Amino acid sequence: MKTLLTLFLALLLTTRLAAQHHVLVEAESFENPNGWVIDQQSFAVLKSSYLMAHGMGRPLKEASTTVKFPAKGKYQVWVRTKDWAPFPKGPGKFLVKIDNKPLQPVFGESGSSEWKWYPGGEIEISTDNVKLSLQDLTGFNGRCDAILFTDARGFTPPDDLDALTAFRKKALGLDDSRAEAGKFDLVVVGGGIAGTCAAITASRSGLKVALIQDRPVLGGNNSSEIRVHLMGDVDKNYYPKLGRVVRELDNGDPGNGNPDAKLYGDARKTAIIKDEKNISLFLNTHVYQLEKSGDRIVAVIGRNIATNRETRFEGTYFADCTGDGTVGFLAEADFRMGRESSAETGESLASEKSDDFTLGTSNLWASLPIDSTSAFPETPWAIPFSDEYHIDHHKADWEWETGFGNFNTITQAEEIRDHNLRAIFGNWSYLKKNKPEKYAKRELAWVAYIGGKRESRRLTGDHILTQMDIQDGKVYPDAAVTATWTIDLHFPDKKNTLYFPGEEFMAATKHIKVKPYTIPYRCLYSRNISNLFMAGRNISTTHVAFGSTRVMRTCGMMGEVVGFAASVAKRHQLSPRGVYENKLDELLGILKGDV
Amino acid sequence: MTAVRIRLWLLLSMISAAPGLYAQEAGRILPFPVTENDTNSYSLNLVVDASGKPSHFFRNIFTPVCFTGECKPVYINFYWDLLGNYVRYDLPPREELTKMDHDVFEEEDYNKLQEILANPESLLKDIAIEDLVSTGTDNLADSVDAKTGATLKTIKREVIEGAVFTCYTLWHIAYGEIVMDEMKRITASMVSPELLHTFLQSNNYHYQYWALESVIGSDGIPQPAYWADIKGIIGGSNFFAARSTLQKLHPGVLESGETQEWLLGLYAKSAYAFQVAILKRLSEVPVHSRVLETLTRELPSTNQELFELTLKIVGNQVRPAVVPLRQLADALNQLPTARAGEVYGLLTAINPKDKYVQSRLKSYRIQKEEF
Repeated sequence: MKTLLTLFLALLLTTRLAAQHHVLVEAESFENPNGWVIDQQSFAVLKSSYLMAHGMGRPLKEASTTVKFPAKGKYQVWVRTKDWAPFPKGPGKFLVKIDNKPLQPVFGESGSSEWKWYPGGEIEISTDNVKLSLQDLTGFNGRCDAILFTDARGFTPPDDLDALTAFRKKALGLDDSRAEAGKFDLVVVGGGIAGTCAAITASRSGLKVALIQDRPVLGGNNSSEIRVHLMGDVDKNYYPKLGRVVRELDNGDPGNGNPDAKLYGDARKTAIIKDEKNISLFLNTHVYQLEKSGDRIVAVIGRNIATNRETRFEGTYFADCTGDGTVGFLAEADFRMGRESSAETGESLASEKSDDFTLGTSNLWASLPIDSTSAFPETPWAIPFSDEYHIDHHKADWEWETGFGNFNTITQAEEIRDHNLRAIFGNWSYLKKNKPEKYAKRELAWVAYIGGKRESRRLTGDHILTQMDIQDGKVYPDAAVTATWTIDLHFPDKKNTLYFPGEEFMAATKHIKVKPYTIPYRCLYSRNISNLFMAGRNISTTHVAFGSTRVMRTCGMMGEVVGFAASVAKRHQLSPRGVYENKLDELLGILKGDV
Repeated sequence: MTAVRIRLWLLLSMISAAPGLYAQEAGRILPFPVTENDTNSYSLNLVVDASGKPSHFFRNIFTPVCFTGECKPVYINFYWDLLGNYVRYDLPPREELTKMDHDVFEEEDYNKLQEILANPESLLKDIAIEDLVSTGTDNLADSVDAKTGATLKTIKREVIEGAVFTCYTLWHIAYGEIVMDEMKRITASMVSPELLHTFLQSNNYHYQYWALESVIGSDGIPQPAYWADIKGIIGGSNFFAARSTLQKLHPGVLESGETQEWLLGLYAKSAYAFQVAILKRLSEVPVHSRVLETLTRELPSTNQELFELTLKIVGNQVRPAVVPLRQLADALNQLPTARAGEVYGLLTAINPKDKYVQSRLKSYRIQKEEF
């Protein structure tokens, strides 16, 4: 482990004196994170994960690691961080310590929300190994991407993303150390409910499957990290065989944001996958690169969000169950993001003009009663609340939501989460101080630091499901998944807009009830990437139709169909489209239980 | 629940209380008869304190709450503030509330009822009672979530199980439009300078907004007699009232040195969002030298948004004083490159004759060229 953590790059510079050294330590690779958490949700923007002190207002213990130095001497220290709530200065303050001695600067309070390298001063290294630690000063989400030690005089590490990515890649030796996971019949990217169902179904159909998930747990929005309950019915199926795997994964309904993590059944989901001999599970692996040949994906490359080791996965078929449509995006699959206009789709519920509006992201939270009174810190950097406007609840539900076109759910995932945190902590601080009769004997038990996204890209298939398909109950020949959820398109809560225009964090909705309807198989594969399936919220629908298809039991059944379809495709050496064109009866036969 | 039964229930709920007060009140009580329609009239009571100032409204309520074809009587007293905002309830002596099967309310049920009634945005507002309960029972309907557009869990938060009808009936009495309008009308008829001062100085933001409408003209000019009260709101703890009041004022009101010094004092101790609001207002007016000096002195340590607002204030001055400009010129060496560039651009545009500023600009230029 140490060797992984003390990656250094000895740059032979053109000096006559000596080789000069850069020692790059990725914070997410610390040996003892001690409660600090890893966030990879902004990988698309940062090209890295980072370490964060998510203490809910209580400073965490020190995160530490051992750094091996190639040579003794003087080193300049650089710390890559940001002030996540610069209003005017944020709370995410931390110290960097070398062998328990803090560097002079306090990090995370610069007043700038940009990720940058900050100078940490000069240190003298007199031993081969030193202890590097991060001391959280606030418990409020201080964060660190990396620490660089350099003895190259006058060297400033790059902030420009391309230059930094190249520097990081070289320093970590990523290209040289990549592991080969092997060749799979189906590579499922995304271990949410859709991806997990796809992997299990394919495995049970005899396929060799890789299941890649970028978090340490399976379940996605239904995991204990996000805690959204499963919705959509599985008992109104046109094809009763569908929904069986969803039922296996279903751990009961603890509601949204239940403070008891166990109720979401992380262990159950992992155990089910571990029992599948045909599935190789790769947790903590974020897919960020792929190889193509013509219109086919040949392989995807994932990076471990903690160790930064890379793995390459070859596959015959790929399933994009990432939610964000990451694989499709990397493969240049056609996709849509935002709302179509009603002129474009003919949908009565579509917006007048097309735009970037998406449903938002939730960071749920919950408090629990305690037997004595407790205080919560002041949060001047958070969203302000008062008697006139505050949210008088001891826990969150789905309405706690940020996005709505104010933020991009992919490229601004970090800002969205941080906005949610500013709402949660600001409101909680207000409640604790001003409503002691109700909240003095309650404490925050849990606040999600991983955002539960609702909407991102929608990859385009051979069919795009519309509002009319849903409301007219059209049953196409390739009708596959039966969906039941209302058309549930959230929008900013009116009162919240009044107080926080353009910065809303509370949602409202209007449920448009639907009769059970079917989603055609053609919504579940890409129209221009010939070996790419998709399942989950990133399937081929309009924004309006997505409002109904997006709930997790329905997404899980999409995964099941993809698993079955991949097995038919493999058996006949067909593309996903080829299954529709040539072997639809066989696929439907499987769904009916004939086979 | 059939439509006929619903109508019957509505009819019964309109029966007003028997004469006689259940609420224990100090001070004088002025009864106001309210007639909602042909079959529903009652007495709305205004409590006036010993000094003759109106204090609050209350009503002694008797309403039958009906389910499964039977009606149970509910005796309850509601209290509203002077603008018709529900405040609390209590029960007449020896009265109690019951749930289905005559189960008596527990303490937590009473607390929950207060929570439900204190929420003016309750989902109960837009729900028809037929959609809320299963036919012939006081149980939440199975399909309540689909019908109402909220999740079943959200609805449960809004009602007491086994007392859905009671919650629904009482909420709609607490927020009845006619009675709320009547309370506003009565209070408006009693308005006086004293009442306005009381309202402005109160902690009740409803009172504050209502009084502000009277004491600040549509042109944003406040009545001088209330300026101290208005300042109290702007400097108060309710950020929303403070900001909206500040935003409402005519720019001319903010031009005096005294007012700007006061705003600067607030700026130093305010939450960030209010700091932004203050700087935005100052960017609309000629700013006094001392105030400008303080803002420019803090420039190197502010965040980007406040930095830009400060520069905007300086840039908007017709003849900015020399001291703030010198401070800006000094900041050229302290600021990160991008910010220094912005300051340089501003100073160049202003192009002051001051030799010190000009020499700093020149040094900055040379330094940049050398770099």
